[in-house]
Amino acid sequence: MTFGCAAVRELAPDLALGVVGGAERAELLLHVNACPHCQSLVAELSETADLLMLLAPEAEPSPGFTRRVLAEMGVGRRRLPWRSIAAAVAAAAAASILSIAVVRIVDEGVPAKTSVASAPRFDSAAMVGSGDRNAGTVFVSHSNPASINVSVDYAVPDGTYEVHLVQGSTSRVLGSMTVSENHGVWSGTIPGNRLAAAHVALVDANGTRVCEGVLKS
Amino acid sequence: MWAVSDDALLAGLATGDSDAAAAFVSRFQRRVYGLARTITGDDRLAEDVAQEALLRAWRHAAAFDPRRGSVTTWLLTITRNLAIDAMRVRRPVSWDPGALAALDLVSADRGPDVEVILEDDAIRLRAALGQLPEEQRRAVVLAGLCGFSGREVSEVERIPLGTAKTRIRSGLLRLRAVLAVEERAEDS
Repeated sequence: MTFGCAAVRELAPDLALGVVGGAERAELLLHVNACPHCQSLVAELSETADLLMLLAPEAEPSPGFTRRVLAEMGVGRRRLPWRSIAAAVAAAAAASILSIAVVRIVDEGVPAKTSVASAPRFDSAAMVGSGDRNAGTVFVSHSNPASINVSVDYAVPDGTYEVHLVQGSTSRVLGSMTVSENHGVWSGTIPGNRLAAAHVALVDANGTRVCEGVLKS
Repeated sequence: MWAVSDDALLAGLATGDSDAAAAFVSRFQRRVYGLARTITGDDRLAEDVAQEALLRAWRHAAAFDPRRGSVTTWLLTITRNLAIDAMRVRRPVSWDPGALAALDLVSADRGPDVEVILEDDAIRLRAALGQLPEEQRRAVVLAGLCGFSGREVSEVERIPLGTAKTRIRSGLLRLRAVLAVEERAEDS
């Protein structure tokens, strides 16, 4: 069976709510993907349908939940750095409380508690392209080795780009990123703390920086 | 709170960074667990669902596409689908009809002459739901939040299948129309 616009209009709410499945859904999507008008209708209804999930109230899982999840991720074997964070807080509190960030984490055997960090252990910045267009995000974790993740989702033509770390007049190639359908991701690490006042840039085959993000710390 | 956006935190999760993982779980676990518990009505099952949802987000963080929606929507959609799969064999027999009432669907209802600033999406949604006929409101929430099929809605509501489908479709279309009017009113 092949669906046309009239049928899709009637069944668009079902598609958006996910209550139509199997072959019928596949047939509907065949039409939707080829028809901008129906695509727009389904997208609008999907946005509305997604809002319904916000009706569910937040709830606190049982003690130990956080640790179980992190253990599955391979994080639980390492003690979360409460003591070092607390020490940093004490030092920072004496100097300034302006940049305090509060992190609330529930840990096993310990009731919900609030820890305070003097500064975020992460840094992120927008990847900005020509015309100040936002192209994506660069994220760094100031651990050793430092983790870097660069993702672009807009405004970067498909192709392969070098990921550069620029500090002062020095530019170093970290790796390469392939952008497909405007979407590309690159992740890697850098030994030591070498990210102070750095730029992360995507550079095309002509040596042009197509976008870059400025890391503040 | 961490001074990092949801998108950036998810990007950090994609790198395998352990601090990013801890911050991500801390930020989202209550919302994820709350949705799973609302759908399943079972604390233990909800924790299993919430755990799996967070793990899937961790495994597939690099594939997240912000053009298709927010991190919250992406994560809640994963949660909802897992919860629905987990409940597939139980419903609708075990569905508690009082569960919808507990959601307080129209708590932000407002009269036409009352000016209220609706900043939060959930408040805006509740206000809009308050303008739907009750039978449409119930049908669209059962389908959209709890993942009920038309047949399941017809069984729970004890109405013919055709009526259930009509209520679901009309409810969502009307909800969208009400929200669009709200948005235009806020913009002007």
